[in-house]
Amino acid sequence: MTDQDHSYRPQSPDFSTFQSPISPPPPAAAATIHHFHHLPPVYQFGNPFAHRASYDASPFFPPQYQQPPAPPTRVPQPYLHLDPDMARRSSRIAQAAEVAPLPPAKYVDPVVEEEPPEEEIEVEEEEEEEEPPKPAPPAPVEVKTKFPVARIKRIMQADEDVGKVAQVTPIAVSKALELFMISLVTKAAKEAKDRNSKRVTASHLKQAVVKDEVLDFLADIIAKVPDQPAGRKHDDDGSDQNDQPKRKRGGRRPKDDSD
Amino acid sequence: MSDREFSSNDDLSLPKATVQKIITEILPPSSGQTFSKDARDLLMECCVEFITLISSEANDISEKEAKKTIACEHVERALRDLGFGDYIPDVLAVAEEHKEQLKSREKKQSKMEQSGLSEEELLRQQQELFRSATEKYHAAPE
Repeated sequence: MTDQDHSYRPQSPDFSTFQSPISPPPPAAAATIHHFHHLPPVYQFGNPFAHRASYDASPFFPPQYQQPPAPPTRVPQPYLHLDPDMARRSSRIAQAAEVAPLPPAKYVDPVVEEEPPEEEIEVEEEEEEEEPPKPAPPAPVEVKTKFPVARIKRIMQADEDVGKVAQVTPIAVSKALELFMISLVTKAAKEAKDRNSKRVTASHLKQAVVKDEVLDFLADIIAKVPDQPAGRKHDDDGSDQNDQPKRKRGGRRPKDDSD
Repeated sequence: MSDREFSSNDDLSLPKATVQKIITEILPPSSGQTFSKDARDLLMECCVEFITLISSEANDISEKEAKKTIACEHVERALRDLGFGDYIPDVLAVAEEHKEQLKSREKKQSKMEQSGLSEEELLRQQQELFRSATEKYHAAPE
């Protein structure tokens, strides 16, 4: 050890002769000090443990001075001898034991959420898979899928002349349309069958329409369909290619003329 | 206005998927027949035309009766006049069912009256339910 070393060396001054205003901690206080060992140890004034004790005893800090918030690693545990759960439960039981009589109640009709009845269904329906707003009742017909009623109504009212429509009307029209479709598809399918075709084409549908007087109103739509599509991809009705002249209405075709 | 007509053109046809579904219900795969796309498109046009026909006919009928709203009976008459009389029974049945639905909806609103019990009786029942619920609650182990 040189002199230099000696000069830099921290020296603990000897304060032992000083009369400390703080009395040395009583043994009980010393015991509690161990609880604070998580604090960075600060050694001062010769007495390694005097620091905390000095706070507690200092006249500038009230004795109920609480220790600073603990570092997050240590969760302060309440040293309760009573299980808090147990306490809660017992208080609840105690409460339940003295149930106050209910105030005179009036019977309240349970409120049922109900959408207000709509006069006109004006729902904007965008996509194709939509269901009709009202689940249609099970009909004794083979078709379960229903048309969107709102759409039907819109189509009806696309006609400038058509004014107001009762709420049931689109539903009735929708049913009529369903039956109409069934008859049209069935007839077209029959035409295809008669031609040994597994594939029902637009021209088959045309044949079906042309044959039926009631379907005259479709004449304009049907007119643009060629009787025999030139380039058929599915040539599965080859047996009667030259067998499809223009059919005028009423021209009955025996079902099995190709067999 | 004409601008709108063009843009809403799509709305004025039927949803393709729905039409296709109905077609497959009429012609299930087991039938061995398939419905081509062009046939389906044509069918959709026919359907729209059918709606237009029925509604304009029903409209004429309602106007003749000096009615402002097209009602179910106008549709019924239109169907008969246009040669679709055999659809009428089913159409009326559906309309009737819808009316029933509306009625039952109204009934729901007066559930209290529907129960046929006096207010005292309902109140007693409610108290009974409260009591049993309280007992159940206390009987619960936790």
